[in-house]
Amino acid sequence: MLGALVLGCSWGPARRPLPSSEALHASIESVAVVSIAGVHPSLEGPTSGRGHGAGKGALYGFVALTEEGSHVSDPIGVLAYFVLPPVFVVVGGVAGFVMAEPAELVERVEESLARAYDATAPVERLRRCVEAEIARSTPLVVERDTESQEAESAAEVQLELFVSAIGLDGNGVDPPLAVRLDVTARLRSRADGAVLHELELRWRGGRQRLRAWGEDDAAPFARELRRACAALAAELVSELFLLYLPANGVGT
Amino acid sequence: MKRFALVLVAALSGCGLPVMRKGLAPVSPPAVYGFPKVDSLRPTLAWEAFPRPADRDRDSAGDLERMSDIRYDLRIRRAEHPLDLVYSVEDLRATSHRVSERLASDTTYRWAVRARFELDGATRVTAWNGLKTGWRSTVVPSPYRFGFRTP
Repeated sequence: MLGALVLGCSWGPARRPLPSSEALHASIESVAVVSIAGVHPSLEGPTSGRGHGAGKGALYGFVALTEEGSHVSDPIGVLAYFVLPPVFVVVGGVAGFVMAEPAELVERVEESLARAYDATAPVERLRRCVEAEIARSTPLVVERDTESQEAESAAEVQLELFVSAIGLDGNGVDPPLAVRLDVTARLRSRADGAVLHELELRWRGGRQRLRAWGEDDAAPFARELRRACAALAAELVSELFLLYLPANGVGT
Repeated sequence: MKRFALVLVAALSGCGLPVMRKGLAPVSPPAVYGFPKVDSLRPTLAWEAFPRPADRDRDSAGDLERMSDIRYDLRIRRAEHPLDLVYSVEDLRATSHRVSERLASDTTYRWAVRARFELDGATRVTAWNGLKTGWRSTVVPSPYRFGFRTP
């Protein structure tokens, strides 16, 4: 497994299809940035109240025991394997009940998160951040689709942004959650529809509990979304349009 | 899985294994897994110059002849809080830089450098240097950077 990890995952060649080249860079003078409809945001709390927390805790207690029990082979271990599950389930259930936030608070936070999400409009914000970053750091002309249909069609390439995951991420009864924003960017020729380059970026920010994300009408959540959009846009533009890729190189 | 890979990378610290890296090679502190100790709260960081011999070897298009105004960008983040960009400078002309602000003592940091230059009238950059991964996606901000520990 270690070998597979080392050879196949961590140290394998980067799998980026259709790498850009200097010739490609030189040939592009204008770009239109569009958002492709993505996934539904994940804004639900990890646990919807103390009852749900108790259930989760009981399940975790059972799973923890069975995982541990699978390594036990002596008679005492086997006996414990059959006697202890109720104990672990009860302890896990109580712990889950205590750790979980009340259902009313979870619902209130979820509503705040939804409002903050709608106000921030991160998918559209990301598109606008990318447009601004292209205009700021490259000589490319950004053809905005708001100007006119004619202007949009004038762009040589289209940069498609597909947000494949967005929301709060974390497992457990009341775990520290991180804002997740995964985006796939595809540079497509307007002439023939060919994909010229593709890359995937993932924002992984700081973690805090649901209650903290929801404070002040979910202001921390909105702030993190804005920060993620700006950082992803800068990285995306840098990788797509600024990165030097010599003709026969494999990245610098 | 990626967390496991990070733990594995941490476990490889000091094993003497060759570092799989991308971008400009660090000179000081050296490119190793883990956090080599620097001797000052205002450490001097150094890296190899761009273009490198390998860049010259593969320059079939004559790009290097047309390059100008080569400079470097440097960023330092706290290792335990990668979102905290504690130091950032751009347009450095030399391949070494003494950090102008005092860093926190006994703290681990990750640093990254890249070259920036002009080519055919446009600004271009090399990739930020760091540990090479095979992940298809890029994590922002990347935890796969070279580290150091302050005294």
